[in-house]
Amino acid sequence: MLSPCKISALEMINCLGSSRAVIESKLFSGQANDLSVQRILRGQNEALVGAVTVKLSQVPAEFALFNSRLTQLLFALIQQLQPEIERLRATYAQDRIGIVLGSSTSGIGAAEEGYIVRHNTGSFPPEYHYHQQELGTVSGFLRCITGFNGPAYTVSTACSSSAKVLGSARMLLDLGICDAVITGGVDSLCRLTAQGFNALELLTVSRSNPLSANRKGLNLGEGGALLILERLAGGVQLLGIGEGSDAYHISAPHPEGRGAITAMRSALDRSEVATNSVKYINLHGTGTVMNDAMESVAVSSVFASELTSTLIPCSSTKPFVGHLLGAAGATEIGFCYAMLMQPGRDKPLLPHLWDGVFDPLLPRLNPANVGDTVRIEAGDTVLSSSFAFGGSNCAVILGLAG
Amino acid sequence: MSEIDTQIAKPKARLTQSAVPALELLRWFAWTPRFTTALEWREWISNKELPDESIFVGEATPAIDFIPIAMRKKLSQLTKVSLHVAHHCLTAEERLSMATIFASRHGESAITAELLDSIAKDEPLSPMGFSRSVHNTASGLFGIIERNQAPTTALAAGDESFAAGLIETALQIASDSSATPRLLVYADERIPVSFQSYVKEPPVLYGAAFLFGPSTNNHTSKIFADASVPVAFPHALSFLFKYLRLQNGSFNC
Repeated sequence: MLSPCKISALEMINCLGSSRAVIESKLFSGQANDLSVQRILRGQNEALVGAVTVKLSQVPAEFALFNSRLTQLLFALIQQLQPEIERLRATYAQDRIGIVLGSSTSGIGAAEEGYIVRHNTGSFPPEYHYHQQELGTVSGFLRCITGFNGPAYTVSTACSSSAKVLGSARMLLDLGICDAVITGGVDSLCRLTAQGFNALELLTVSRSNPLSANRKGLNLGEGGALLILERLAGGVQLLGIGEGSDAYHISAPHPEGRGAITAMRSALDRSEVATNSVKYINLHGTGTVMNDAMESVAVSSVFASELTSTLIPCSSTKPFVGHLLGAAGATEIGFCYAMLMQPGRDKPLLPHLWDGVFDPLLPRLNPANVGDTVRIEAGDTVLSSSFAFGGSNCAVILGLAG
Repeated sequence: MSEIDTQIAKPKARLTQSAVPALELLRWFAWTPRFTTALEWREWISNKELPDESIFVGEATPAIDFIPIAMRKKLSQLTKVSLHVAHHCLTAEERLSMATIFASRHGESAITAELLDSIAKDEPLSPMGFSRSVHNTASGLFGIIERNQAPTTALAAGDESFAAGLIETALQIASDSSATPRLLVYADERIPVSFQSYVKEPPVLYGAAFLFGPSTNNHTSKIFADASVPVAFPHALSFLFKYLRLQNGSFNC
């Protein structure tokens, strides 16, 4: 019998905005006009990305050592979450509040600026500090700002980072080590990831078009999501997290989605729910050829019996915000939470934005259209997948409490 | 108290106060440029005091003869030492199915510095360099090389990165109804010269693999509760040294 694990708060920031009302309104109405062109490729070449455009404030002066676009994004999230952080402070002992955050880059963007200055002048600029790019800084910064003193660490497994954090957070609650955990992830746009993905020929200059025969690659994005988990019943419950490794290739998924299938099946087992409880699937859906191919196979393999009757609606939300890498998992789980929190039993589905041209070579999934709804009763679930470099796969299941 | 002492004081406080489940060390394997064989480690254990930092001096690199030749290109020292200690800590059977936790403070700092250098010069990034710059490079390659599809993760927490690995390992074992052991791999490489002035600890290359099971003793909590034991050493190795002193028995390394 699972102990309860309620998602009691969510804040997000991405190219759609920094308020949940704005982000959710754009998502459910299918407004995806927020990708923009940034000169972050080599030779000042342009990439279409999901850049955060709200003005970010500097981090507090005493934490200037950690200042980077990443900690600025995280600081914005912390400010949005402030009332909930104060509620936790008033409710629980500070050493019973844990922090587990995911990130793939930390503040490496600050190191890029530092290296450019160093290349031109021979030394780093005064504002640069190595701590800005350390992965541990992500969780450490949140700990410094809140003063919460439970276990605090960063998970960095590339694009599955902020899905896997939910597993660690859940264990901290289940084992009674923490009463609340702040979890999620954040990543910022930077040259290293943009030029790296470009070197792997995975970027597209148009909006990504996942599942389509015409797909051409992915768009990067930035931002993040913070979620609070507590050992409480009701609301939207984090049911189970499943993981599996491809043991195949460092930067390409297993063609038949070996690790992805393991992750989804394991998430179902750990959630103690049947496949037919799943009413929506949030795909990893990067829009690359390899991801589309393996994910279509993996989803249809896990949900084969459901495919014969009604196809489970699914979507990739990456055409709205880009691929947030280490922050993608938490952001997309956040979108699923937002969907389950919509009033009424008929929930608006997160739409799949694409050109509608199915790839004849792939098992056909059921992409949700703008305006589609799905009936969600107590006990029904949704699943979100995240796959990463290193063959790291993670699936997370949320459910509406009875 | 040295600076390193005050740093380990933080995870110590949290590990004990938050009652993280204790761990039993079932087997271990460690590597430094000076201590590369089991014999050298056995002598180390029999000493009463922690050795000095000379065990990190040397040009030796960890042997990677177990890695297929085609996959040996562009492996960082960090990845080599991580894979070396993980491989040698496990039996052939265990390598196929052991769930693993990789922790490192600095991660792939050398490859990252190379990429940053290319960016500063506006040169193209190496695709292979980029794919091997992620923090989970060793974690992912472990699965590929050992044909192991079990869950694996990669963590960091600044100067508490080893403690973070211990916590995650303890959580996973305590959450598993069959209490299956987990392998914790902690490693760091010498960070590039460009970063060294920003970090207090000396740049050292080392790795340690710990096969942990559920505890029948409370050594782990004792180690973190006993602040009187001096710590002027990388945390994973000072943990190992103190654990073995408490254990007082024979060890397979």
